[in-house]
Amino acid sequence: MGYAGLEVVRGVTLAVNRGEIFALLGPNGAGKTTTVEILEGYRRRTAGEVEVLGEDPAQAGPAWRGRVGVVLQSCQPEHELTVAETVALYAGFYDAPLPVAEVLALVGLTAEAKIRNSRLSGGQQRRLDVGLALVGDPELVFLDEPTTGFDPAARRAAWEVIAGLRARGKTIFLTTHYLEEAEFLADRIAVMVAGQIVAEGTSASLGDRHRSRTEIRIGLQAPPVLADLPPLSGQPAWEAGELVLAAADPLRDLNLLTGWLLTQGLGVEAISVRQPSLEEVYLRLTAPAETVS
Amino acid sequence: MTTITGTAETATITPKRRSALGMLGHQVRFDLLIMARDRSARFFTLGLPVLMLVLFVAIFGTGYVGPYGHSMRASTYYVATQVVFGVVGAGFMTLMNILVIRRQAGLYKRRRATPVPAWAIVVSQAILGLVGAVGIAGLLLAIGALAFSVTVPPGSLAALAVDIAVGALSFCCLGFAVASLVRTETAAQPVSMGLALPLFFISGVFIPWDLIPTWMRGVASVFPVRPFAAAVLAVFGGSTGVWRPVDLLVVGAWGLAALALSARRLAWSPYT
Repeated sequence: MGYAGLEVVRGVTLAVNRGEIFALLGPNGAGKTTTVEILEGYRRRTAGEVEVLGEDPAQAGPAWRGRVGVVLQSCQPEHELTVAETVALYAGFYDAPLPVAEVLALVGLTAEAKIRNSRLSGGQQRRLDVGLALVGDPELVFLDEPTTGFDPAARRAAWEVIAGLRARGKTIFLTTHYLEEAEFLADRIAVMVAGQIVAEGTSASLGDRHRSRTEIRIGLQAPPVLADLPPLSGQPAWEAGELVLAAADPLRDLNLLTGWLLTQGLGVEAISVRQPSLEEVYLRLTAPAETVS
Repeated sequence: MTTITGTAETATITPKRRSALGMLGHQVRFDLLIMARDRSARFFTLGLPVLMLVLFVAIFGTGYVGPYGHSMRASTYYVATQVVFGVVGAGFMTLMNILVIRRQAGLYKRRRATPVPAWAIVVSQAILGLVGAVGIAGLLLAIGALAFSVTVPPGSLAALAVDIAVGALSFCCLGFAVASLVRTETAAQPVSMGLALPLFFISGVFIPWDLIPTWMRGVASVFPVRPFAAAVLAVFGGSTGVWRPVDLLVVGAWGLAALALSARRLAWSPYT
Protein backbone atom coordinates (compact mmCIF):
# COMPACT_ATOMS: atom_id res chain seq x y z
CA MET A 1 0.00 0.00 0.00
CA GLY A 2 1.13 3.51 -0.49
CA TYR A 3 0.07 6.96 -1.39
CA ALA A 4 -1.24 8.42 -4.53
CA GLY A 5 0.44 11.49 -3.10
CA LEU A 6 -0.58 14.84 -4.52
CA GLU A 7 0.94 18.18 -3.71
CA VAL A 8 -0.86 21.20 -5.05
CA VAL A 9 0.53 24.64 -5.73
CA ARG A 10 0.02 27.78 -3.63
CA GLY A 11 1.83 26.27 -0.69
CA VAL A 12 -0.99 23.88 0.11
CA THR A 13 -0.26 20.20 0.48
CA LEU A 14 -2.93 17.73 -0.43
CA ALA A 15 -2.33 14.04 0.09
CA VAL A 16 -4.87 11.72 -1.45
CA ASN A 17 -4.86 8.22 -0.03
CA ARG A 18 -5.08 5.19 -2.22
CA GLY A 19 -8.62 3.87 -2.46
CA GLU A 20 -10.40 6.97 -1.20
CA ILE A 21 -12.69 9.46 -2.86
CA PHE A 22 -11.26 12.94 -2.47
CA ALA A 23 -13.40 15.93 -3.40
CA LEU A 24 -12.09 19.37 -4.29
CA LEU A 25 -15.09 21.56 -3.56
CA GLY A 26 -15.45 25.19 -4.44
CA PRO A 27 -17.48 27.81 -6.27
CA ASN A 28 -17.18 28.32 -10.03
CA GLY A 29 -13.90 29.98 -10.91
CA ALA A 30 -12.14 28.93 -7.71
CA GLY A 31 -9.33 27.19 -9.61
CA LYS A 32 -10.54 23.59 -9.32
CA THR A 33 -10.14 22.77 -13.01
CA THR A 34 -6.72 24.44 -13.15
CA THR A 35 -5.64 22.35 -10.19
CA VAL A 36 -6.97 19.09 -11.59
CA GLU A 37 -5.46 19.81 -15.02
CA ILE A 38 -2.04 20.27 -13.42
CA LEU A 39 -2.53 16.90 -11.72
CA GLU A 40 -3.66 15.31 -14.99
CA GLY A 41 -0.59 16.64 -16.80
CA TYR A 42 -2.49 18.99 -19.15
CA ARG A 43 -1.19 22.19 -17.62
CA ARG A 44 2.28 23.14 -16.55
CA ARG A 45 2.57 24.66 -13.11
CA THR A 46 4.63 27.75 -12.54
CA ALA A 47 5.98 26.68 -9.17
CA GLY A 48 5.86 23.95 -6.58
CA GLU A 49 6.07 20.19 -6.62
CA VAL A 50 3.43 17.78 -7.86
CA GLU A 51 3.62 14.03 -7.66
CA VAL A 52 0.87 11.71 -8.85
CA LEU A 53 1.39 7.95 -8.64
CA GLY A 54 5.05 8.61 -7.95
CA GLU A 55 5.65 10.76 -11.03
CA ASP A 56 5.51 14.39 -12.05
CA PRO A 57 2.46 14.59 -14.35
CA ALA A 58 4.14 17.25 -16.49
CA GLN A 59 6.91 14.77 -17.34
CA ALA A 60 4.94 11.53 -17.22
CA GLY A 61 4.83 9.19 -20.19
CA PRO A 62 2.44 6.63 -21.68
CA ALA A 63 2.91 4.10 -18.87
CA TRP A 64 1.73 6.67 -16.30
CA ARG A 65 -1.22 7.68 -18.48
CA GLY A 66 -2.21 4.02 -18.61
CA ARG A 67 -2.65 4.08 -14.82
CA VAL A 68 -4.73 7.27 -14.75
CA GLY A 69 -8.29 7.74 -16.00
CA VAL A 70 -9.55 11.22 -16.83
CA VAL A 71 -13.14 12.44 -17.10
CA LEU A 72 -12.93 15.91 -18.58
CA GLN A 73 -15.32 18.68 -17.65
CA SER A 74 -16.70 18.97 -21.16
CA CYS A 75 -16.05 16.42 -23.85
CA GLN A 76 -18.43 15.08 -26.46
CA PRO A 77 -18.04 11.51 -27.67
CA GLU A 78 -17.42 10.71 -31.35
CA HIS A 79 -20.94 11.24 -32.71
CA GLU A 80 -20.75 8.77 -35.58
CA LEU A 81 -19.67 5.80 -33.43
CA THR A 82 -21.88 3.56 -31.34
CA VAL A 83 -21.36 3.36 -27.59
CA ALA A 84 -19.64 -0.03 -27.84
CA GLU A 85 -17.44 1.10 -30.74
CA THR A 86 -16.32 4.14 -28.76
CA VAL A 87 -15.31 1.99 -25.81
CA ALA A 88 -13.51 -0.39 -28.20
CA LEU A 89 -11.64 2.58 -29.76
CA TYR A 90 -10.30 3.71 -26.38
CA ALA A 91 -9.66 0.15 -25.22
CA GLY A 92 -7.16 -0.11 -28.07
CA PHE A 93 -4.90 2.45 -26.40
CA TYR A 94 -4.20 0.36 -23.28
CA ASP A 95 -2.05 -2.69 -22.65
CA ALA A 96 -4.60 -4.51 -20.51
CA PRO A 97 -8.03 -2.93 -21.04
CA LEU A 98 -11.22 -4.11 -19.41
CA PRO A 99 -13.56 -6.01 -21.76
CA VAL A 100 -15.97 -3.63 -23.53
CA ALA A 101 -19.04 -5.42 -22.10
CA GLU A 102 -17.67 -5.04 -18.57
CA VAL A 103 -17.16 -1.31 -19.01
CA LEU A 104 -20.68 -0.88 -20.38
CA ALA A 105 -22.13 -2.82 -17.44
CA LEU A 106 -20.07 -0.76 -15.01
CA VAL A 107 -21.57 2.53 -16.22
CA GLY A 108 -25.03 1.13 -16.96
CA LEU A 109 -24.94 1.46 -20.75
CA THR A 110 -25.32 -2.20 -21.74
CA ALA A 111 -28.73 -1.58 -23.33
CA GLU A 112 -27.30 1.36 -25.29
CA ALA A 113 -24.29 -0.55 -26.70
CA LYS A 114 -25.44 -0.32 -30.31
CA ILE A 115 -26.80 3.22 -30.16
CA ARG A 116 -24.92 6.06 -31.85
CA ASN A 117 -23.38 8.47 -29.36
CA SER A 118 -25.25 11.38 -30.94
CA ARG A 119 -28.53 9.84 -29.68
CA LEU A 120 -27.47 9.59 -26.04
CA SER A 121 -28.91 11.89 -23.40
CA GLY A 122 -26.58 14.22 -21.52
CA GLY A 123 -26.48 11.88 -18.55
CA GLN A 124 -25.76 8.87 -20.74
CA GLN A 125 -22.94 10.75 -22.50
CA ARG A 126 -21.42 11.56 -19.14
CA ARG A 127 -21.62 7.92 -18.10
CA LEU A 128 -19.86 7.04 -21.36
CA ASP A 129 -17.18 9.61 -20.44
CA VAL A 130 -16.71 7.76 -17.16
CA GLY A 131 -16.61 4.44 -19.02
CA LEU A 132 -13.88 5.72 -21.35
CA ALA A 133 -11.84 6.83 -18.33
CA LEU A 134 -12.19 3.34 -16.83
CA VAL A 135 -11.52 1.20 -19.88
CA GLY A 136 -7.77 1.08 -19.16
CA ASP A 137 -8.52 -0.19 -15.63
CA PRO A 138 -6.77 2.83 -14.01
CA GLU A 139 -5.65 3.06 -10.40
CA LEU A 140 -6.57 6.72 -10.14
CA VAL A 141 -9.54 8.47 -11.75
CA PHE A 142 -9.96 12.24 -12.09
CA LEU A 143 -13.55 13.44 -12.40
CA ASP A 144 -13.90 17.15 -13.19
CA GLU A 145 -17.43 18.28 -12.29
CA PRO A 146 -18.96 14.98 -13.39
CA THR A 147 -22.62 15.90 -12.84
CA THR A 148 -22.83 19.58 -13.79
CA GLY A 149 -26.10 20.19 -15.61
CA PHE A 150 -27.71 16.89 -14.57
CA ASP A 151 -31.27 16.49 -13.38
CA PRO A 152 -31.54 15.00 -9.87
CA ALA A 153 -32.22 11.43 -11.06
CA ALA A 154 -29.25 11.43 -13.46
CA ARG A 155 -27.06 12.90 -10.72
CA ARG A 156 -28.07 10.14 -8.31
CA ALA A 157 -27.34 7.50 -10.99
CA ALA A 158 -23.89 9.01 -11.63
CA TRP A 159 -23.16 8.98 -7.90
CA GLU A 160 -23.94 5.27 -7.76
CA VAL A 161 -21.43 4.68 -10.57
CA ILE A 162 -18.74 6.72 -8.81
CA ALA A 163 -19.40 5.07 -5.45
CA GLY A 164 -19.07 1.73 -7.27
CA LEU A 165 -15.54 2.70 -8.35
CA ARG A 166 -14.45 3.00 -4.74
CA ALA A 167 -15.77 -0.51 -4.19
CA ARG A 168 -13.37 -1.63 -6.96
CA GLY A 169 -10.45 -0.07 -5.10
CA LYS A 170 -10.00 2.95 -7.34
CA THR A 171 -8.69 6.23 -6.02
CA ILE A 172 -11.00 9.05 -7.07
CA PHE A 173 -10.14 12.74 -7.31
CA LEU A 174 -13.36 14.63 -7.81
CA THR A 175 -14.01 18.32 -8.36
CA THR A 176 -17.47 19.69 -7.80
CA HIS A 177 -19.34 22.82 -6.88
CA TYR A 178 -22.21 20.74 -5.50
CA LEU A 179 -21.93 20.46 -1.77
CA GLU A 180 -24.25 17.45 -1.52
CA GLU A 181 -22.13 15.65 -4.12
CA ALA A 182 -19.00 16.01 -2.03
CA GLU A 183 -20.92 15.07 1.12
CA PHE A 184 -22.48 11.98 -0.48
CA LEU A 185 -19.35 10.65 -2.20
CA ALA A 186 -16.19 11.91 -0.59
CA ASP A 187 -14.16 10.39 2.19
CA ARG A 188 -12.36 13.69 2.47
CA ILE A 189 -13.11 17.17 1.17
CA ALA A 190 -10.90 20.18 0.51
CA VAL A 191 -12.59 23.54 -0.06
CA MET A 192 -10.93 25.79 -2.62
CA VAL A 193 -11.70 29.49 -2.82
CA ALA A 194 -9.87 31.92 -5.10
CA GLY A 195 -7.06 29.46 -5.74
CA GLN A 196 -6.42 28.61 -2.11
CA ILE A 197 -7.40 25.65 0.02
CA VAL A 198 -9.37 27.21 2.88
CA ALA A 199 -10.38 24.02 4.67
CA GLU A 200 -9.78 20.30 4.50
CA GLY A 201 -11.30 17.36 6.30
CA THR A 202 -14.11 14.84 6.35
CA SER A 203 -17.63 16.11 5.80
CA ALA A 204 -18.11 15.86 9.59
CA SER A 205 -14.95 17.75 10.53
CA LEU A 206 -14.75 20.29 7.71
CA GLY A 207 -14.32 23.86 8.94
CA ASP A 208 -14.24 22.59 12.56
CA ARG A 209 -17.86 21.63 12.14
CA HIS A 210 -17.54 18.88 14.78
CA ARG A 211 -16.12 21.36 17.29
CA SER A 212 -18.69 24.01 16.57
CA ARG A 213 -21.20 24.81 19.27
CA THR A 214 -24.50 23.02 19.07
CA GLU A 215 -27.42 25.31 18.51
CA ILE A 216 -30.45 24.86 20.77
CA ARG A 217 -33.66 26.62 19.74
CA ILE A 218 -36.83 26.59 21.86
CA GLY A 219 -39.97 28.21 20.49
CA LEU A 220 -41.99 29.89 23.27
CA GLN A 221 -45.37 31.62 23.34
CA ALA A 222 -43.92 34.46 25.43
CA PRO A 223 -40.40 35.71 26.01
CA PRO A 224 -38.76 34.46 29.22
CA VAL A 225 -36.83 36.74 31.56
CA LEU A 226 -33.30 35.87 30.44
CA ALA A 227 -31.76 36.91 33.76
CA ASP A 228 -33.84 34.24 35.52
CA LEU A 229 -32.39 31.39 33.43
CA PRO A 230 -30.09 28.87 35.14
CA PRO A 231 -26.33 29.26 34.37
CA LEU A 232 -25.65 27.81 30.89
CA SER A 233 -22.53 27.06 28.80
CA GLY A 234 -23.41 29.79 26.30
CA GLN A 235 -25.12 33.15 26.15
CA PRO A 236 -28.90 32.75 25.58
CA ALA A 237 -30.82 35.18 23.39
CA TRP A 238 -34.42 35.86 22.36
CA GLU A 239 -34.89 35.88 18.57
CA ALA A 240 -38.26 36.07 16.84
CA GLY A 241 -40.22 33.94 19.25
CA GLU A 242 -37.36 31.56 20.00
CA LEU A 243 -34.92 31.17 22.82
CA VAL A 244 -31.58 30.59 21.06
CA LEU A 245 -28.44 29.20 22.66
CA ALA A 246 -25.07 28.22 21.13
CA ALA A 247 -24.17 25.53 23.63
CA ALA A 248 -20.69 24.25 24.42
CA ASP A 249 -22.26 21.55 26.62
CA PRO A 250 -25.56 20.87 24.89
CA LEU A 251 -26.76 17.89 26.93
CA ARG A 252 -26.38 19.62 30.26
CA ASP A 253 -27.83 22.91 28.95
CA LEU A 254 -30.83 21.13 27.46
CA ASN A 255 -31.47 19.36 30.76
CA LEU A 256 -31.25 22.62 32.72
CA LEU A 257 -33.41 24.52 30.23
CA THR A 258 -36.21 21.95 29.99
CA GLY A 259 -36.26 21.56 33.77
CA TRP A 260 -36.47 25.30 34.21
CA LEU A 261 -39.20 25.68 31.55
CA LEU A 262 -41.33 23.06 33.34
CA THR A 263 -41.17 25.07 36.58
CA GLN A 264 -42.04 28.32 34.72
CA GLY A 265 -45.11 26.95 32.99
CA LEU A 266 -44.18 28.70 29.71
CA GLY A 267 -45.87 27.15 26.64
CA VAL A 268 -43.21 25.34 24.58
CA GLU A 269 -44.03 25.18 20.85
CA ALA A 270 -40.91 23.50 19.42
CA ILE A 271 -37.45 22.36 20.43
CA SER A 272 -34.58 21.80 18.00
CA VAL A 273 -30.99 20.78 18.68
CA ARG A 274 -28.60 20.80 15.72
CA GLN A 275 -25.01 20.93 14.53
CA PRO A 276 -24.29 23.58 11.87
CA SER A 277 -24.97 21.93 8.48
CA LEU A 278 -22.17 21.34 6.00
CA GLU A 279 -23.90 23.92 3.85
CA GLU A 280 -23.57 26.56 6.57
CA VAL A 281 -19.89 25.67 6.99
CA TYR A 282 -19.37 25.83 3.22
CA LEU A 283 -21.14 29.16 2.84
CA ARG A 284 -19.08 30.57 5.69
CA LEU A 285 -15.85 29.26 4.11
CA THR A 286 -16.66 30.58 0.64
CA ALA A 287 -18.17 33.91 1.71
CA PRO A 288 -16.36 36.80 -0.02
CA ALA A 289 -15.44 38.42 3.33
CA GLU A 290 -13.65 35.24 4.32
CA THR A 291 -11.49 35.22 1.21
CA VAL A 292 -10.13 38.68 1.99
CA SER A 293 -8.87 37.74 5.43
CA MET B 1 3.14 -4.54 -14.00
CA THR B 2 0.04 -6.64 -13.60
CA THR B 3 0.63 -10.34 -13.91
CA ILE B 4 -2.01 -13.01 -14.25
CA THR B 5 -1.08 -16.43 -12.98
CA GLY B 6 -2.42 -19.31 -15.02
CA THR B 7 -4.32 -22.10 -13.30
CA ALA B 8 -3.09 -25.18 -15.16
CA GLU B 9 0.56 -24.33 -14.79
CA THR B 10 2.39 -21.47 -13.21
CA ALA B 11 2.75 -19.55 -16.44
CA THR B 12 2.57 -15.82 -16.00
CA ILE B 13 0.95 -13.81 -18.71
CA THR B 14 2.02 -10.22 -18.95
CA PRO B 15 -0.34 -7.94 -20.83
CA LYS B 16 0.76 -7.38 -24.39
CA ARG B 17 2.34 -3.99 -24.87
CA ARG B 18 0.66 -1.99 -27.58
CA SER B 19 3.02 -0.71 -30.23
CA ALA B 20 2.70 2.91 -31.30
CA LEU B 21 2.20 1.79 -34.90
CA GLY B 22 -0.53 -0.60 -33.80
CA MET B 23 -2.29 2.24 -31.98
CA LEU B 24 -1.95 4.41 -35.08
CA GLY B 25 -3.60 1.74 -37.24
CA HIS B 26 -6.30 1.23 -34.62
CA GLN B 27 -7.13 4.95 -34.62
CA VAL B 28 -7.10 5.22 -38.40
CA ARG B 29 -9.56 2.33 -38.68
CA PHE B 30 -12.04 4.00 -36.35
CA ASP B 31 -11.47 7.49 -37.73
CA LEU B 32 -12.10 6.29 -41.29
CA LEU B 33 -15.29 4.62 -40.05
CA ILE B 34 -16.32 7.95 -38.50
CA MET B 35 -15.56 9.83 -41.73
CA ALA B 36 -17.42 7.23 -43.81
CA ARG B 37 -20.51 7.70 -41.62
CA ASP B 38 -20.27 11.49 -41.63
CA ARG B 39 -22.67 12.66 -44.35
CA SER B 40 -21.17 16.13 -44.52
CA ALA B 41 -17.59 14.84 -44.93
CA ARG B 42 -18.79 12.31 -47.51
CA PHE B 43 -20.50 15.00 -49.56
CA PHE B 44 -17.71 17.56 -49.43
CA THR B 45 -14.92 15.01 -49.98
CA LEU B 46 -16.48 12.80 -52.64
CA GLY B 47 -19.88 14.04 -53.79
CA LEU B 48 -19.13 17.68 -54.53
CA PRO B 49 -16.01 17.21 -56.73
CA VAL B 50 -17.83 14.55 -58.77
CA LEU B 51 -20.83 16.85 -59.13
CA MET B 52 -18.58 19.73 -60.19
CA LEU B 53 -16.78 17.56 -62.77
CA VAL B 54 -20.08 16.39 -64.28
CA LEU B 55 -21.43 19.96 -64.37
CA PHE B 56 -18.31 21.49 -65.94
CA VAL B 57 -18.07 18.79 -68.61
CA ALA B 58 -21.80 19.18 -69.30
CA ILE B 59 -21.34 22.94 -69.73
CA PHE B 60 -18.01 23.06 -71.60
CA GLY B 61 -17.80 19.46 -72.84
CA THR B 62 -17.65 19.96 -76.59
CA GLY B 63 -15.37 22.99 -76.48
CA TYR B 64 -11.66 23.52 -76.11
CA VAL B 65 -9.73 25.61 -73.63
CA GLY B 66 -6.33 27.17 -74.08
CA PRO B 67 -3.91 28.64 -74.75
CA TYR B 68 -1.24 26.05 -73.88
CA GLY B 69 0.68 26.18 -77.14
CA HIS B 70 -2.05 23.85 -78.22
CA SER B 71 -5.63 23.79 -76.97
CA MET B 72 -6.97 21.18 -74.58
CA ARG B 73 -10.36 19.49 -74.59
CA ALA B 74 -12.59 20.99 -71.91
CA SER B 75 -13.35 17.54 -70.49
CA THR B 76 -9.61 16.92 -70.05
CA TYR B 77 -9.11 20.34 -68.50
CA TYR B 78 -11.87 19.80 -65.97
CA VAL B 79 -10.82 16.28 -65.01
CA ALA B 80 -7.40 17.75 -64.21
CA THR B 81 -8.70 20.82 -62.35
CA GLN B 82 -11.37 18.90 -60.41
CA VAL B 83 -8.65 16.52 -59.23
CA VAL B 84 -7.06 19.69 -57.82
CA PHE B 85 -10.42 20.74 -56.33
CA GLY B 86 -10.85 17.28 -54.79
CA VAL B 87 -7.36 17.10 -53.30
CA VAL B 88 -7.55 20.61 -51.84
CA GLY B 89 -11.10 19.92 -50.62
CA ALA B 90 -10.21 16.70 -48.80
CA GLY B 91 -6.68 17.58 -47.70
CA PHE B 92 -7.32 21.16 -46.65
CA MET B 93 -11.03 22.01 -46.31
CA THR B 94 -12.54 18.79 -44.91
CA LEU B 95 -9.51 17.98 -42.77
CA MET B 96 -9.42 21.50 -41.33
CA ASN B 97 -13.11 21.24 -40.41
CA ILE B 98 -12.59 17.84 -38.79
CA LEU B 99 -9.60 19.12 -36.80
CA VAL B 100 -11.43 22.17 -35.44
CA ILE B 101 -14.67 20.31 -34.64
CA ARG B 102 -12.86 17.48 -32.86
CA ARG B 103 -10.55 19.79 -30.96
CA GLN B 104 -13.47 21.94 -29.79
CA ALA B 105 -15.42 18.79 -28.82
CA GLY B 106 -12.48 17.84 -26.55
CA LEU B 107 -11.72 14.63 -28.45
CA TYR B 108 -7.99 15.28 -28.86
CA LYS B 109 -7.69 16.29 -25.23
CA ARG B 110 -9.32 13.01 -24.25
CA ARG B 111 -7.08 10.96 -26.53
CA ARG B 112 -4.07 12.71 -24.96
CA ALA B 113 -5.22 11.36 -21.59
CA THR B 114 -4.59 7.82 -22.86
CA PRO B 115 -1.19 6.18 -23.49
CA VAL B 116 -1.44 6.81 -27.25
CA PRO B 117 1.61 8.88 -28.34
CA ALA B 118 0.98 12.47 -29.50
CA TRP B 119 2.53 11.88 -32.91
CA ALA B 120 0.19 8.94 -33.53
CA ILE B 121 -2.83 11.20 -32.95
CA VAL B 122 -1.47 13.82 -35.37
CA VAL B 123 -0.53 11.28 -38.05
CA SER B 124 -3.87 9.49 -37.77
CA GLN B 125 -5.67 12.75 -38.52
CA ALA B 126 -3.31 13.60 -41.38
CA ILE B 127 -4.01 10.16 -42.84
CA LEU B 128 -7.71 11.06 -42.95
CA GLY B 129 -6.91 14.00 -45.21
CA LEU B 130 -4.49 11.97 -47.33
CA VAL B 131 -6.90 9.05 -47.77
CA GLY B 132 -9.67 11.46 -48.74
CA ALA B 133 -7.41 13.32 -51.19
CA VAL B 134 -6.02 10.20 -52.86
CA GLY B 135 -9.49 8.58 -52.87
CA ILE B 136 -11.22 11.48 -54.60
CA ALA B 137 -8.34 11.90 -57.09
CA GLY B 138 -8.63 8.22 -58.02
CA LEU B 139 -12.43 8.43 -58.29
CA LEU B 140 -12.29 11.51 -60.55
CA LEU B 141 -9.62 9.96 -62.77
CA ALA B 142 -11.72 6.78 -63.07
CA ILE B 143 -14.84 8.77 -63.97
CA GLY B 144 -12.79 10.82 -66.44
CA ALA B 145 -11.49 7.68 -68.13
CA LEU B 146 -14.78 5.76 -68.18
CA ALA B 147 -17.28 8.54 -68.86
CA PHE B 148 -15.28 11.19 -70.74
CA SER B 149 -12.43 9.19 -72.34
CA VAL B 150 -9.87 11.33 -70.53
CA THR B 151 -6.83 9.17 -69.91
CA VAL B 152 -3.38 9.80 -68.51
CA PRO B 153 -0.54 8.65 -70.78
CA PRO B 154 1.25 5.74 -69.02
CA GLY B 155 4.53 7.69 -69.16
CA SER B 156 2.94 10.54 -67.15
CA LEU B 157 1.51 8.41 -64.33
CA ALA B 158 4.61 8.80 -62.14
CA ALA B 159 4.48 12.58 -62.51
CA LEU B 160 0.75 12.59 -61.62
CA ALA B 161 1.39 10.40 -58.57
CA VAL B 162 4.13 12.77 -57.36
CA ASP B 163 1.92 15.82 -58.00
CA ILE B 164 -0.94 14.33 -56.00
CA ALA B 165 1.36 13.20 -53.19
CA VAL B 166 3.02 16.63 -52.86
CA GLY B 167 -0.34 18.40 -53.15
CA ALA B 168 -2.13 16.15 -50.65
CA LEU B 169 0.68 16.37 -48.07
CA SER B 170 1.07 20.13 -48.44
CA PHE B 171 -2.65 20.89 -48.26
CA CYS B 172 -2.98 18.61 -45.19
CA CYS B 173 -0.26 20.69 -43.52
CA LEU B 174 -2.18 23.82 -44.47
CA GLY B 175 -5.29 22.21 -42.95
CA PHE B 176 -3.43 21.74 -39.64
CA ALA B 177 -2.02 25.27 -39.75
CA VAL B 178 -5.33 27.03 -40.43
CA ALA B 179 -7.14 24.79 -37.91
CA SER B 180 -4.73 26.07 -35.26
CA LEU B 181 -5.80 29.64 -36.08
CA VAL B 182 -9.58 29.01 -36.07
CA ARG B 183 -11.08 29.37 -32.63
CA THR B 184 -14.62 27.98 -32.97
CA GLU B 185 -16.25 25.14 -34.86
CA THR B 186 -18.81 27.52 -36.40
CA ALA B 187 -15.97 29.52 -37.96
CA ALA B 188 -14.29 26.48 -39.53
CA GLN B 189 -16.55 26.11 -42.58
CA PRO B 190 -16.67 29.84 -43.51
CA VAL B 191 -12.88 30.19 -43.08
CA SER B 192 -12.10 27.15 -45.25
CA MET B 193 -14.57 28.35 -47.90
CA GLY B 194 -13.36 31.95 -47.70
CA LEU B 195 -9.74 30.92 -48.23
CA ALA B 196 -10.20 28.20 -50.83
CA LEU B 197 -13.05 29.43 -53.07
CA PRO B 198 -11.36 32.65 -54.28
CA LEU B 199 -8.17 30.70 -54.93
CA PHE B 200 -10.11 28.10 -56.95
CA PHE B 201 -11.59 30.91 -59.07
CA ILE B 202 -8.39 32.85 -59.73
CA SER B 203 -6.32 29.67 -60.24
CA GLY B 204 -8.34 28.36 -63.17
CA VAL B 205 -9.91 25.49 -61.27
CA PHE B 206 -13.48 26.53 -62.13
CA ILE B 207 -12.90 29.07 -64.92
CA PRO B 208 -10.37 28.35 -67.71
CA TRP B 209 -7.00 29.91 -66.90
CA ASP B 210 -6.83 31.89 -70.17
CA LEU B 211 -9.96 33.81 -69.13
CA ILE B 212 -8.35 35.00 -65.88
CA PRO B 213 -6.94 38.59 -66.08
CA THR B 214 -3.18 38.72 -66.17
CA TRP B 215 -2.73 40.59 -62.89
CA MET B 216 -4.98 38.02 -61.18
CA ARG B 217 -2.85 35.20 -62.57
CA GLY B 218 0.13 36.86 -60.96
CA VAL B 219 -1.65 36.88 -57.60
CA ALA B 220 -2.76 33.27 -58.03
CA SER B 221 0.77 32.07 -58.78
CA VAL B 222 1.95 33.18 -55.34
CA PHE B 223 -0.57 30.93 -53.57
CA PRO B 224 -0.39 27.13 -53.57
CA VAL B 225 -3.55 26.25 -55.57
CA ARG B 226 -2.36 27.59 -58.95
CA PRO B 227 1.08 25.91 -58.94
CA PHE B 228 -0.59 22.65 -57.92
CA ALA B 229 -3.15 23.01 -60.75
CA ALA B 230 -0.37 23.85 -63.25
CA ALA B 231 1.54 20.73 -62.23
CA VAL B 232 -1.52 18.48 -62.63
CA LEU B 233 -2.52 20.11 -65.92
CA ALA B 234 0.97 19.45 -67.28
CA VAL B 235 0.38 15.73 -66.86
CA PHE B 236 -2.67 16.03 -69.14
CA GLY B 237 -0.77 17.89 -71.84
CA GLY B 238 -1.17 21.39 -70.46
CA SER B 239 2.50 22.26 -71.06
CA THR B 240 5.47 21.00 -72.99
CA GLY B 241 6.77 18.70 -70.23
CA VAL B 242 4.88 16.59 -67.69
CA TRP B 243 7.15 17.56 -64.76
CA ARG B 244 6.77 20.98 -63.18
CA PRO B 245 9.45 21.01 -60.42
CA VAL B 246 9.22 24.76 -59.73
CA ASP B 247 5.46 24.59 -59.22
CA LEU B 248 5.86 21.58 -56.94
CA LEU B 249 8.51 23.46 -54.97
CA VAL B 250 6.09 26.37 -54.41
CA VAL B 251 3.37 23.95 -53.24
CA GLY B 252 5.88 22.10 -51.03
CA ALA B 253 7.21 25.37 -49.56
CA TRP B 254 3.68 26.34 -48.52
CA GLY B 255 3.30 22.89 -46.99
CA LEU B 256 6.56 23.15 -45.03
CA ALA B 257 5.76 26.64 -43.79
CA ALA B 258 2.33 25.38 -42.68
CA LEU B 259 3.95 22.39 -40.98
CA ALA B 260 6.29 24.68 -39.04
CA LEU B 261 3.40 26.89 -37.94
CA SER B 262 1.23 23.95 -36.88
CA ALA B 263 4.08 22.38 -34.93
CA ARG B 264 4.45 25.62 -32.96
CA ARG B 265 0.73 26.07 -32.38
CA LEU B 266 -0.35 22.45 -31.93
CA ALA B 267 -3.15 22.46 -29.35
CA TRP B 268 -4.96 19.50 -27.81
CA SER B 269 -7.48 21.34 -25.68
CA PRO B 270 -10.52 23.25 -26.95
CA TYR B 271 -9.94 26.96 -27.45
CA THR B 272 -11.98 29.00 -25.00
